[in-house]
Amino acid sequence: MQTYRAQYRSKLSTPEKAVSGIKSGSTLVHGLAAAEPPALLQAIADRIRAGELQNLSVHSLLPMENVSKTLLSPDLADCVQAFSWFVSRSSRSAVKVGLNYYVPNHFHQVPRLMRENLDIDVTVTAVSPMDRSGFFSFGTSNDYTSTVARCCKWLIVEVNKNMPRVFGDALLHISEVDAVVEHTTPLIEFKWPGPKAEDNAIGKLVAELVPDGATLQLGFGGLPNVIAMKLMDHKDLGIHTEVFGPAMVELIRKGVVTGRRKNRHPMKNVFTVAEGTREMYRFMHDNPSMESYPVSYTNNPDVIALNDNMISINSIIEVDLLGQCNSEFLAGSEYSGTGGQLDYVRGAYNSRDGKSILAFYSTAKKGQVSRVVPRLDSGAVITTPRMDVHYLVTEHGAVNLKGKSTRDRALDIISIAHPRFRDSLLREAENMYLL
Amino acid sequence: MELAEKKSGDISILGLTGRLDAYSATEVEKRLDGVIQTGCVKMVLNLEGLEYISSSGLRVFLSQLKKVRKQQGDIKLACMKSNIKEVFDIAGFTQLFNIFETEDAANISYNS
Repeated sequence: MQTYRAQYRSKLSTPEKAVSGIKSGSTLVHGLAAAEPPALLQAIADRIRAGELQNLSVHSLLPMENVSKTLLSPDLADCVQAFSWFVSRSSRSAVKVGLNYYVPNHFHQVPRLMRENLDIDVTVTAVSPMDRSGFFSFGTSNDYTSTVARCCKWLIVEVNKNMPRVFGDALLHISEVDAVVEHTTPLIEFKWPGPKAEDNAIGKLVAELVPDGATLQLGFGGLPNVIAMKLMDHKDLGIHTEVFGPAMVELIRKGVVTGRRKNRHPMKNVFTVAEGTREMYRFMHDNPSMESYPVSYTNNPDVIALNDNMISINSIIEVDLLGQCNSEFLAGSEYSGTGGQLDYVRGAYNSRDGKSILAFYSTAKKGQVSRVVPRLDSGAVITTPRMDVHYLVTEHGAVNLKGKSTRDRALDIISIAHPRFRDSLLREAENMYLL
Repeated sequence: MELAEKKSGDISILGLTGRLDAYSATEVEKRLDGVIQTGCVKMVLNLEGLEYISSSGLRVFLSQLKKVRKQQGDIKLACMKSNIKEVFDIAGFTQLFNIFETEDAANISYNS
């Protein structure tokens, strides 16, 4: 029996050698976001450019710069069939012109969808350095990566000393790995635009809906950061979330998040993917309170519901007068994705005293366009059906749609639209015989 | 999809008219392959009559571009309609191709 270190040495390779066995026609899945492995992706792209690889199917979710500069580069579009399970800035344009195909999904189902529907040849992902027991950690990216790492034919890991080592069900043993490369580089950092004028009002309204002792799921972006700041006077909050972000670090450090009142995983901050700053990654490293699990667990509505007072906070693009929410489709094409929104909307509502909150700005395009619309465009998709919508919040108010008639829903929704659009929305509601 | 071909010295000028989509992409690929097989690797595609291009069409253009550039040739695009130019912009293909306002400008560029 080789020692773990000997196994490591025997599997240690260069990026070029490690990817040399990939064949044309292969299906590849790579680690999500900060776990995109830059050296391996570059080595694969180099092989494609050299004419050694063709017809590669590449599956991403929220593709970021390391994959967009390599496998999703426009000059490889004739050799790479690209699939996005959530559309990001890096894939949005290609999706719009059919050079990248969106795969509709609920995030919690992605591990199963990939395992059952993709014949995965290769998985590449960044991991934290191996410990003395032979374990790497998936670090920032457990999500579906931990699943595809185990159902692919060839697993290559890129060891990055900056990848935090986290706890939970986040470990990968050297015996499970086919090849190892070492490449230490700063992890991708996520930056958001500064707060908007409306954020304060929305943050305050959302914070009023969050009781002390609640367990939180917060999306990521500028608005969730502001909402987190408004929670600084709360007590004993907990975290069970899809995305762990920098705002949560502040809540933990200030003692607002303790996790004491969680029914499930008390005192632990549970997540499946982390997207933040270098400082946040350092906070996560070797921190026993940080537990990551596959997204099939963190986003399973039944698991989400196990914590009482579960509060999920997500954003939408627009809502119609029936209460149907579109969070992913803009100007006739896929803008983002369903992600875990409906997972948490349903899970939070099913939790005892839980609430799902969908927050949005009442207008877009500098106030010229209402995000409350009479009807969704014929081509738009519904991310959260009207039966599932619980709380809607804009800078003009918060409403609870559960158990309400179509009439009352329409009136409630109009009440949180921008005042400039309320009269025309009321007329449209009448035309639709909702009033 | 109609494809008209003419020569200007060692340059093949192909005029595309109609829709370049999944149905016509293979035919266009074959025609361009045929031109390359004659030894001509300098091409100008006049896209004045091109009404629509799908992802299949984009992929054909890109794969043919790589073939001719391997042989020190090029495919230069001319007379794009604004909707086609927009698709090229969105796809990031304007960085990959040399694009000209007129067929003459594309032709002349081979001598510069």
